[in-house]
Amino acid sequence: MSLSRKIAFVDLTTGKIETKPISKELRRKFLGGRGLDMYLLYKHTKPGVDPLGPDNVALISAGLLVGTLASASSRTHVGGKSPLTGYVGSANVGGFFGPEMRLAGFDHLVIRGKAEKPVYLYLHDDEIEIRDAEHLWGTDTRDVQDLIRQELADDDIQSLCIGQAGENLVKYACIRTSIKNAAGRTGIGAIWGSKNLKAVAAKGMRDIGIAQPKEALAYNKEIINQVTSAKVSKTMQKLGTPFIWGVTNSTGLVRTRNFQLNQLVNADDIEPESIEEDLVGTAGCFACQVHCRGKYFIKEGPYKGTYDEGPEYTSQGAFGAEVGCTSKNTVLVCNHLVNYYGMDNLETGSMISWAMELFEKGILTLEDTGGLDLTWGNDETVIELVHKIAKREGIGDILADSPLEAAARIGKDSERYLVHVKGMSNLHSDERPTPALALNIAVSSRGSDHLRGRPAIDLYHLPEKVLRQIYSNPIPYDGPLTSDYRDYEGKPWQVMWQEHLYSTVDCLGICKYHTVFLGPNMPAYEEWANLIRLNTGLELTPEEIYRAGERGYTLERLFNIREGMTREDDKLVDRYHDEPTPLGLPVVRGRFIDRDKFKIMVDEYYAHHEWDENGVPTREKLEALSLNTLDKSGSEPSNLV
Amino acid sequence: MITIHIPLILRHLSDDAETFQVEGSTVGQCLEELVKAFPGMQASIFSKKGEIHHLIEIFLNSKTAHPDELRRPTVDGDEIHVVTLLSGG
Repeated sequence: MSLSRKIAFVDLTTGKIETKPISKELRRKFLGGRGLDMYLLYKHTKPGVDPLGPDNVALISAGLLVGTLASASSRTHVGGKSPLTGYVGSANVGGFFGPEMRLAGFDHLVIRGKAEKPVYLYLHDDEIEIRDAEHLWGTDTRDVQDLIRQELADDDIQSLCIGQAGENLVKYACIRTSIKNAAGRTGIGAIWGSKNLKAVAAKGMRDIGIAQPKEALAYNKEIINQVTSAKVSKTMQKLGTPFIWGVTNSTGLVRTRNFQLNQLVNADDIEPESIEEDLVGTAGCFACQVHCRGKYFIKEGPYKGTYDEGPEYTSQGAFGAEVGCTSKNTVLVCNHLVNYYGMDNLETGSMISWAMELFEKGILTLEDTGGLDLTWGNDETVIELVHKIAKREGIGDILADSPLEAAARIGKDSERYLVHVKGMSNLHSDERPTPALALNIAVSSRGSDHLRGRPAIDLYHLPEKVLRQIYSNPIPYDGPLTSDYRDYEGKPWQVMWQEHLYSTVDCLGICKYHTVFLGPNMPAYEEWANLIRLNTGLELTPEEIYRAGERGYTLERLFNIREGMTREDDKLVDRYHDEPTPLGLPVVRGRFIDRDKFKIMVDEYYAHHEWDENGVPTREKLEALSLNTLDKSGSEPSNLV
Repeated sequence: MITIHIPLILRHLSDDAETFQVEGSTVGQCLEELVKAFPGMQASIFSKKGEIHHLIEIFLNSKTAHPDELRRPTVDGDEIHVVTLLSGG
């Protein structure tokens, strides 16, 4: 059955491989994917571990429903202690790798040590081979996957891999699979690079073992109808995620020129309707009907004829608004390059835009940049910097470090222009007019991030009755809720609730675009309880599933605290408070985050979580979540594996 | 009368009115009355083909009216919410 998949422990230093079963108790507590990934991170690293040292772990975790008869069940989690932030390293990816890993017999990999020479792992038939990868070192993320398929003479093999950025220890290198699927954030690619681990390939022939296949298939049809009939899904199918960027920018919620403006003007060329003109189709991940990923060929310039996929709305932000570029070609080329080298597009764009503001302020000069003109909107410079960062050449070597490390290397008060939380850069959105979204990025467990707890529908202006139906399920809530996104009231509950929801779907391996992230009429806990029961045989109530998501999120908090995080890290940079938004619609212009109200939101957020005033989970909360076996050193959340 | 709730990002087109009262026997008629009063809303609510814009979802009495939202019957006391698919992701 699907629950029989194992955890494999791979030591790249010694070559030793050990497998263990996953107990039902552990399943019930953490489900799989991100939750179990976090458990394994907490348990198998020591406090203060060097993120790029052999004692850090590289984790791969398939979600509980991955590869089953559940729609959009493609998602795999990767983890480790982040070389970008020093806190939780954690990222999620779709594509087809996760199902293949489960078909090969594995749900989780815990990889430690460091190989003497480059290697890749090959998972098949309940076995793991450590194979030579010296000939693959130096290849991009696309070639390495093709070469592995050729070497193993099997076109069906799916791989996770790093590109040159991971090999060069770019602190925000990511893990890639297929053409553009990325486990993008927190620099897991650098962990792999530090271990001389180029890729993990999988090919499986084992039956997943669906508990009630006929019923699961029939029920999934209902889920598919629910998702694909939603208005927002149809928009997503037509335009992909760029539609989000378009309306966000026209409203005035896109950070522009690093953080100086909140709207990119004269941006017709990178509006979603313009990008749609270049798309030759759309692609989707395993078992998904939404197909949100565009397919395109670059039409002009040195990269003319190059095929790639995307761009996501984050690339419009990273290589458009943030750097002041209004050229579609620049967005499409840079999107291709970060896919090729294996880098987080958000962090890449943020670091370049930060450098551009430093150049404008005279903190960086032509001498520092090797003659590169970092003026806003310089398309050639932006493209060149992506290359230089991946290769750690010239100024690119500094920008390839984490934001705080780079600021320390440059000095001259450069840190004040960073737009980050916990050392991870913000995505392209400007949260000054939206307190809920601002709180979300400030308290997120992995640094500034929209995929940990963003109540994205806060901007929809939904009827309050609909909001209450959403945010009172499956845990009753009768506190304040308002559909006015300028308000501070009720937002802490929304953020906490979303944190648990996203944690839950990351444990299940379901895409967030099948959740309330995109709209109000999407599957939630009731539907997931049915999917779990029909596909795996596990009987869990909606509340138990919610608590599993909460348990994983709480463990992320405990890990961060163990690594030195305090309440001081749950904050926004000063610009959110001191510089009102200058552009956009009247309802967003002149907005900033009020310091006093923000503090109250953080207090309320902690209280909802049942954490103390310093953001530390209370003993009572840990007991309620069965996380109370922490010993005094904080090294052991439980003894289940 | 039927009450139409205007979302924040369209209020610069409604003289800051939060709601607008109309008479109509379908959602489509009600929204036509709205854009008659505030013509600037036409391009934000309707596509060039006269359908509901792809970035707008209509809720009738707190339930989605999609699809065929324009033909949904309305009666006195109904509430229409114009919802913007502005997810801010």
